[in-house]
Amino acid sequence: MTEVVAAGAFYVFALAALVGGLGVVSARHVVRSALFLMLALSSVAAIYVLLSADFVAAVQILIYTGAIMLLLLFAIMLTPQQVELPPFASAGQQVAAGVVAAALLALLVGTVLVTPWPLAATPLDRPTTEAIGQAMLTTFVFPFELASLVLLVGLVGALLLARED
Amino acid sequence: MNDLFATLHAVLLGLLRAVLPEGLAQALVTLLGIAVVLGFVALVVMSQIWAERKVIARIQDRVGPNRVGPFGLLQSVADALKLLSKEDVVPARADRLVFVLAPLIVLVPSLMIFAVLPFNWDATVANLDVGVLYVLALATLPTLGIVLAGWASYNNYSLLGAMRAAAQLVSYEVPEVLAVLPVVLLAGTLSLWGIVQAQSSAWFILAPVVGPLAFLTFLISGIAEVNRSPFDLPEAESEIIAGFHMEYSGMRFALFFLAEYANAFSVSAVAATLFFGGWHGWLLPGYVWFVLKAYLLFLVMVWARGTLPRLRYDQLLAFAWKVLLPLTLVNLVLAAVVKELRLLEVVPWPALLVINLGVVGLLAWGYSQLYAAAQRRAAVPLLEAAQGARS
Amino acid sequence: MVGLQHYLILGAALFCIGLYGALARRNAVTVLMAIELMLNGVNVTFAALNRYLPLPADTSLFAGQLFVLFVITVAAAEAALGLAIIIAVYRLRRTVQVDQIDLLRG
Repeated sequence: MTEVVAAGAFYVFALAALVGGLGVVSARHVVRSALFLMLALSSVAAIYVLLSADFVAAVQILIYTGAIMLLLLFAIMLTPQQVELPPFASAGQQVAAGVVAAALLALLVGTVLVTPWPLAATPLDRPTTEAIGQAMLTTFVFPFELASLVLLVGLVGALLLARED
Repeated sequence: MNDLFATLHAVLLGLLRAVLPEGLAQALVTLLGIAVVLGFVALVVMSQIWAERKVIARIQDRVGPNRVGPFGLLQSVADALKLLSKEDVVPARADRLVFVLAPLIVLVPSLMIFAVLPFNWDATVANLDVGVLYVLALATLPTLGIVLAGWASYNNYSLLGAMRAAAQLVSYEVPEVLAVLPVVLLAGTLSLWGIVQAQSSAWFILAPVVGPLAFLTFLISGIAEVNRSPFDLPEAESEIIAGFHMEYSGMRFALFFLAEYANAFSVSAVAATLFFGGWHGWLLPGYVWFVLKAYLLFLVMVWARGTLPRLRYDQLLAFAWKVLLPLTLVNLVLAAVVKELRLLEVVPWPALLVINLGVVGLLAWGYSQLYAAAQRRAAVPLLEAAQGARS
Repeated sequence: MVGLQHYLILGAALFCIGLYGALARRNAVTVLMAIELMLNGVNVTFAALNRYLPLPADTSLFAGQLFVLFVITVAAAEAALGLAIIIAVYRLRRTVQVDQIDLLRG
């Protein structure tokens, strides 16, 4: 029974994520794209929950849907277009982009379906938060410190670039 | 009485198992729990609106609503009916989709927070392992709705109000998250149910210095996060003509209104869970204590609204970044000290209470001395000017 | 029912949709949004592989989820910087259409 519910939930949220993604790339108005991106990001958070990554799901909502979306909305509002220009590139470029994306999708899906994945006996379903915290401060302490440095540089750089000088 | 929800759950599950397959029975019982919580939220919000109007009225030396029903108790019902019967106006050049969705983006996260609150030892809709992070993540989402509402109204003042609201909400998110971390450190878990369990011997507000400081910073940040006075610049009627929800009328405005009060109650409830021991209490069943504590904290918020003047925009932001943020960081270090010394486990709670009252009294006395010294220093030039004028 | 391959295909689909958006849209902010979609596709792949592959012997059990956290962190920094650049360019040229910001073109 739980299998059916989990599968149903996966299809619902996967569909929502794909609809969100398609909405982002095909909406005419940039604020509609932002709305669809919100849908896509929240659906991805739900997918993380289905993958038993509860901490990552909460962080996804906190950072991606909460903070990065706000950044994007502010940027949209601070850069209003004066003249109504076409939102899509030239027809030729669109076709080329579509071909490239479709080819890559075919390649990736083909690889996924063909590869004999060495699956574990049971999927990993343990509590994550404490283990992630431990790993951050032992095995992954170097990337952790580097990531905080990256954030600091990003903070100062963004402040400097966006100033009204 | 204290096992009310556990027994109800078992009885209902037993009844449903007889007719439905296992998974469906569980799902139905969970849905019933969700319906109960949402109904409770609706009731509480109506009582909140009434309580706020009555208390603010008394603070302002007047009576408050007293015409509709005994003591004005049905005023909320009358307001709801009025709002429902209004015309649905959407500004002509507004983006209709965004205009309609924005109140929902504000309301739905506020209601979702109630899913993880532990009303009693057996009464949580969803006992998540990352409950605290879930609550904090959902608290960041209404900001998006507010910004979209201001933008979609196609109105300069709405947009200005929305931008100011966004700056305020984002600034106060950081102290809010950092204020909760000492509690997580002391409890050793992110699960709200686990945090209440860890307070069975001593409530976390009794942690020396760390408890009251964390509680104060959380409450202040929480009040700022729900746009209540003294942080209600984005929506103040006398300021920027009601800001981001200016163009909203009728049921859509009711959604914003509902969201604000639900948010205020959820902040109070989370504070009660994190600092005041959730369902722990004597004599009365756990859920009664929980609602009582949350409601008392909400009344503290109403008290703050009635007595404190509104903070100006730059004062608002300076307070968050220059006062609250350093305080929360210092608090985190102190919490590590308290945890290392295992003070909450070793010292009995009456002693902790006395220590905390002593520390708070000392700080209050020190602050009053500083204030009096500053007053005296400011009065000296005036005295000299008065003497100079006389001679 | 739903296995590793379903999640991997979802990740690949999100990545390719984002790729199309990054190549076919004119507004720089929309291009950034498409890039965020690509990063999310990659994150879903990491999280899915973390759940379904056998436990690693020499690193944390949740190395995949840690990768996701680092990607989210760097994506936040990158979004902030990218948007700051877009705002700075807007101030100068009054436009954010990627095909009109071509001063460096030879």
